[in-house]
Amino acid sequence: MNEDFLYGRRLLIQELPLNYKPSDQVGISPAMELKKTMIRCTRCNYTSSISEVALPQNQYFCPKCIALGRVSTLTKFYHLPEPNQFPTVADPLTWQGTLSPLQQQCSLEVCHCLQRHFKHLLWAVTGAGKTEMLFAAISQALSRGERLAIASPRVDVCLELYPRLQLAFANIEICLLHGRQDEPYSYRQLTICTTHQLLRFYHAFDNLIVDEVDAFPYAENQQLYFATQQAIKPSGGCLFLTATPGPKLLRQVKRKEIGISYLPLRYHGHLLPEIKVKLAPTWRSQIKQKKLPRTLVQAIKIRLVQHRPFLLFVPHVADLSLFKISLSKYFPKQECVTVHAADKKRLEKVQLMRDQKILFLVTTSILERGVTFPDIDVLVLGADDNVFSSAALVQIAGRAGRSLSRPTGDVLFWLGSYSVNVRAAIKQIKFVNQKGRKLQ
Amino acid sequence: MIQCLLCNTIIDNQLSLVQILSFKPIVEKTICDDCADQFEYLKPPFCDGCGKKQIVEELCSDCQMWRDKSGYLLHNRSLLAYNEATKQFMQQYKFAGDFRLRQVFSDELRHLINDLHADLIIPIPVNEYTWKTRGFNQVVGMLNNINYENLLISKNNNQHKLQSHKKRYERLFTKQPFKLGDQSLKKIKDKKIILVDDVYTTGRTLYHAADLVQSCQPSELMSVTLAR
Ligand SMILES: [Zn+2]
Ligand SMILES: [Zn+2]
Ligand SMILES: [Zn+2]
Repeated sequence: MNEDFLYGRRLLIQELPLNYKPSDQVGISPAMELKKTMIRCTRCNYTSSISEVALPQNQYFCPKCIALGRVSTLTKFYHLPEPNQFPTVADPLTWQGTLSPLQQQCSLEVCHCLQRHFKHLLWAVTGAGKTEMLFAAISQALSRGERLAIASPRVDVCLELYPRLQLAFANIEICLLHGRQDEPYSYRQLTICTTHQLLRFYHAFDNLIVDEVDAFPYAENQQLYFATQQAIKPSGGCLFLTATPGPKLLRQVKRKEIGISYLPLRYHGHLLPEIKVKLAPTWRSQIKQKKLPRTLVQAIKIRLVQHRPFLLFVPHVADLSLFKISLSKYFPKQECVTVHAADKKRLEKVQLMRDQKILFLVTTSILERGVTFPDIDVLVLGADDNVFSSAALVQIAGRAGRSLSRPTGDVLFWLGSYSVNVRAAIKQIKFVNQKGRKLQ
Repeated sequence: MIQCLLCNTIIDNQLSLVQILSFKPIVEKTICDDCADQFEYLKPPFCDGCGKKQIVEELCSDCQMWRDKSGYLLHNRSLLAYNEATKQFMQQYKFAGDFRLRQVFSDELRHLINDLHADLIIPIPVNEYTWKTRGFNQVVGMLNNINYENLLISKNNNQHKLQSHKKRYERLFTKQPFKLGDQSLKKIKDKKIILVDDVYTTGRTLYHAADLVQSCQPSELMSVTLAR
């Protein structure tokens, strides 16, 4: 029987095909390790106290990674080492596009990292065009016969990457894995998956690329971090991609555990727009009285008069209607469309903005990836609220100035007071722009 | 710090003044208020037989069928309506196997059972395959601080297809899956018996169990399930 579903993976008994009889080569290992009063899951590395996770009859389970199928002492892991059984293709890249000189340089660096199996961080600002810069390195790795994966914490990123990579590597079959699908797993040289799916791999990949490492839930999730390490072969390399590296990654860079390279300019060669701060200590109480900070009213007025499109962010869903009411006091005839992540009409409203049928959109969260408007300014009311992490603020700022025709765009924050996250975001943008200026 | 067992958000378990002054025993929350609000507790009027929610208190057509078929009527009472939240809950508890969830409704289930003042509680058993894979009986898991006896035993008739994977008509025609344990007759005769199961769906499972118990002549026979 073909056992390629076990190559470089560790599957639980209940994940195996029906009536499957493992061959002698298959390694079988315990799913959990008991240490006195604690028990460790060998899939996600989470250690539970046995009293919390006990089943009857001295059995135990792992609650942490249960969504992927329960690991327990009642089951075992089946594994076959990764044999790299792939047909060799000399030059699998079918993409015909070209890179800017800066992207070209970065692309060479990525090639080098993958060739040497480095652990490396590529800090590329939003709108740098990083996917295209990976193509050459992926192509070379594939022709070396390596097994590769591109993983992201976010399903939407995977769904966006898959068709782009399939186009760029038209003759390579790609396996796409995420929690919302029914298609069965297939053994492929190139895999695109969510970081959760990495939990099922064991020493599989010669190179693993993790996109958006600082997106939820990866950044704070020890289990996913462990899964990443475990999915890579001991001799394998790992490339982290992010526009907003968090403290954990930067610490690793500082300790020289991982290398770093920067792409501080956007694809059109311009810097990130820097954040301008306006203090509005009483904006919270003002909005409750149906008022807005004077400077915000001015900023909106200018954009309405000059027909300059913008996104306006507020911290909470409840603030949307408050803002709308307040705005109508100043601009009674102005239409105001608000949208949030769980809004049923989200897609329609985003489309209105895209089609330039409305001049601005008021929202709470960064609209999902791929939702970019070319010529906009970004206004944030209450940027010091805890809901905005520094990474989120950098991402929000990165929504502005994404087109060649208007590469700068304004980013304005209204704050009650300076918060740690706002300071960190400002600092991060200044830092990459400093690097960027040297290249301009 | 306690996390909601269903959605993982952090639960604020600080006591309100009202709680402190009420002198009622303090119940530790296992799920957050948002999740708790999704469950629908069954209140009368319901079907006198199966206990499902109805506009009037009379026998539903299914129960009339069971009464005619079995020659008796099983009075069932359930805590929750089988809505989307209950379905998700059973999915996570029983099928994903998150045994921690046994605590979520165990107190309320105990109150429901205790209010019926039975002499003997008998849980519906699970088969050997379930013991090997799931590792627990989801009914017994919820019976906290309740005395029960495993007088029903699952017969090993190689029923590989799980009850929950069957279509409705398939379930209605399943063969008797249980047998009685030792000394059942002595323990059941002239006693008030309550059978406990997780979900009352068609009634087939409980009526199979009830048929066996009836044969031992209890003084009264009822059933309790988490959901209907
Ligand atoms: Zn685990
Ligand atoms: Zn919850
Ligand atoms: Zn009924």
